Amino acid sequence: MDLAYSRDYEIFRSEVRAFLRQYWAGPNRDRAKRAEEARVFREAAIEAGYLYRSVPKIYGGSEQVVDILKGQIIREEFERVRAPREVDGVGVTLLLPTLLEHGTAEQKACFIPRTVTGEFVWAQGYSEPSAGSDLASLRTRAELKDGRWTINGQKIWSSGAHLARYMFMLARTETAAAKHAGISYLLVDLKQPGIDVRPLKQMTGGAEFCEVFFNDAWTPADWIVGERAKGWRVSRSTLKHERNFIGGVDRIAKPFERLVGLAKQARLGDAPAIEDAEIRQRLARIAGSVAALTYSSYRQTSLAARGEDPGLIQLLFKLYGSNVGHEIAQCARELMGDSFLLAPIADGARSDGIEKWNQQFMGSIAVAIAGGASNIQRNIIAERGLGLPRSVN
Amino acid sequence: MNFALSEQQQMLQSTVAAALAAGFPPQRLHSLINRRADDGAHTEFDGLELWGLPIDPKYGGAGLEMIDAALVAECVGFAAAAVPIVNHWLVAFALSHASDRDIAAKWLPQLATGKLRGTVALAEGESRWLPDDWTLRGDGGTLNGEKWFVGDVAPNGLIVVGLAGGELGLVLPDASGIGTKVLDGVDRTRSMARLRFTATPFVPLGCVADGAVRLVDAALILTAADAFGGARRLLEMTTAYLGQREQFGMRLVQFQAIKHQLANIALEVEPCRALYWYAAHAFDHRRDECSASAALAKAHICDRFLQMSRDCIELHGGIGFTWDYDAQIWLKRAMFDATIYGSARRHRERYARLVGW
Repeated sequence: MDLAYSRDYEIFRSEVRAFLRQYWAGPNRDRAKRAEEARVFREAAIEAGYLYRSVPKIYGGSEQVVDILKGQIIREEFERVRAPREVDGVGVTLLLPTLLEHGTAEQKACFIPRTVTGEFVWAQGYSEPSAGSDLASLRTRAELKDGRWTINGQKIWSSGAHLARYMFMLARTETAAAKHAGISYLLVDLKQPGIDVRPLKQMTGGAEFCEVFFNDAWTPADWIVGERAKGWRVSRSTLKHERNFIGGVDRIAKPFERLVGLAKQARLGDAPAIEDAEIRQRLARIAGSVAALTYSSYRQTSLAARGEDPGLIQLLFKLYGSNVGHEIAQCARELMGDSFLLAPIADGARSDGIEKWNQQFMGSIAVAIAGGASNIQRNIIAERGLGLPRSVN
Repeated sequence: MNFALSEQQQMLQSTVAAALAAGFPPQRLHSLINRRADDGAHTEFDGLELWGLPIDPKYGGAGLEMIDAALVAECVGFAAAAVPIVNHWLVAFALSHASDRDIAAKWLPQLATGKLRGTVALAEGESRWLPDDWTLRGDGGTLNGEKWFVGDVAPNGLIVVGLAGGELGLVLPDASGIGTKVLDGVDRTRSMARLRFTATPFVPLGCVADGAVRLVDAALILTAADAFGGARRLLEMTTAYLGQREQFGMRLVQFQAIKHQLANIALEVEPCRALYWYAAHAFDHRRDECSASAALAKAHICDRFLQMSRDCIELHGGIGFTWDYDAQIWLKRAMFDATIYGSARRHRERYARLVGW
């Protein structure tokens, strides 16, 4: 057991640092310039082999040998100076690995390079009004006729669809087949008359996810990923990535750091809240969970680097993170005092005051729902982790 | 960067687990808690020659680290084994810090073989577990006063005693003036006594600055590891029982409500593994973080063990509440682990202070 990196890795780390010193001066104060600076920086980082390491060079990646520890060092060092990493969003985190695993050469060449640069923005089209946790019961139809797919139906909870150009979606292509066996994985251009995207206003006041209506929309016959009727299996590889993605330790470690900051800033009676015995107990309780998850991720990373199966732990990250999010919300609420009465987003802009914590208070509920709700996670832990039988009720 | 066990460490755990399973089958555990005659032997465990595991090789030990000791403690917790190994090692850790090297040179080789046993006497009742709490004075080379909840007191063994001012003293074999009152502990897999010292001679250990703190850190880490092992055992036991118990014409594990409760328990237990590993690793490699990590791991894992043991017994139904079923053994170990060396509340407050809140 050794938490230090070996000499070779420390050399790699110093190379990454030298690169960052040369190419990254920190986020520009002028917000308008940030996007262009990020684009230029990413080009250099790909050239240096630090981003899109699993993407072949012909598709715009840096095509590096898989090395989980190097990946970890890059994340740590980029994070430290707040340098842009890979483009945010489901296109990179979910579609890209799916295309690499199941896509045709044409699909890869057509979609991957411009997804990598962020030029192509994607939305996910999985859930439907009557197909949530029971996703395989989805009813949106795609029929192959006249050399193209004609799509009718409705998707929901599609994050960022109002800003996206394309969607990867699951649609029912075989009506006679059993429910999991009749689904295909399609790519669709959202900018067409047969598609209507309507943002859904969320309880936080923001509007990040959408309903998407398909009314004789179409997509080319060869914009199908994997074989026809095999879409369920294709999408599973995507969901696996999403579980890791949402369960990232940063997603609880960072809010917890901010919570400690809030406890130092807020006052209870005449003293800073952090001096209150009960608040210290609550913070330390959460700290135990954050530490357990953080060190478990070290273990998971080490086992993965060795090519060993980390087992049960990797099935726990999503639910564990959601639960810690709830605890942070409860603790923050006590620290917020009367600010709990104020809206986190007023007149379309996020607040800078303590009331901004109402965003976390509500947002942490969304984390427990998105990407497989907590009760679905419990099924997964019980069935795949503990080997219990599949539920009948 | 490698936060995973080596082959040797995996081997150590599987060997110890097998020896303890052979030496402490459920019949023997029930025999212990029913106070039936027990020869106190742990032959299979003795055969592994682990008494000197953390002791410097120059004194005849194996020179392994806290993580290795903690991996063994996890196995002890899993088996609920009545082997006095943790208290013995705590003495070894304390003597290793003695500034008087003659003491180390004299006693550590004997501890390393296991021919001489040792234990620690720290608590003074009323939750006075930690160096700042100790009041026992060693005036004029003798002790006068009491220590509570002392485990594994061996005839003619060494006893490390916590003294006022956070000092440590060593009571030698055959020392006079020790009255021992056996306490009826809730956890009968572990012995417990109150010691009364009356003009008992002792040797000051004159530890290098943080000797008592290191001793307490070690105790907290090994207790956390024990608790994780115990929790793992109860989860395994409960999953197995619910997998065969039928009601309403179905095995209980087929009910989603039951599956979700088991998933919630696994969710709380499994991440504790890396939490105690980290504290144990910090003991040898990240000393500045060690006390905080040890306090956090002890508080968190013992809390989880206590709650999950209640949940597991509830999931069993009536059988879980009986004296003759195995589950109560680990519930009581959870009660022991939660209390010994100080409460979760105490260690969380220490954590808060140690990280500068």
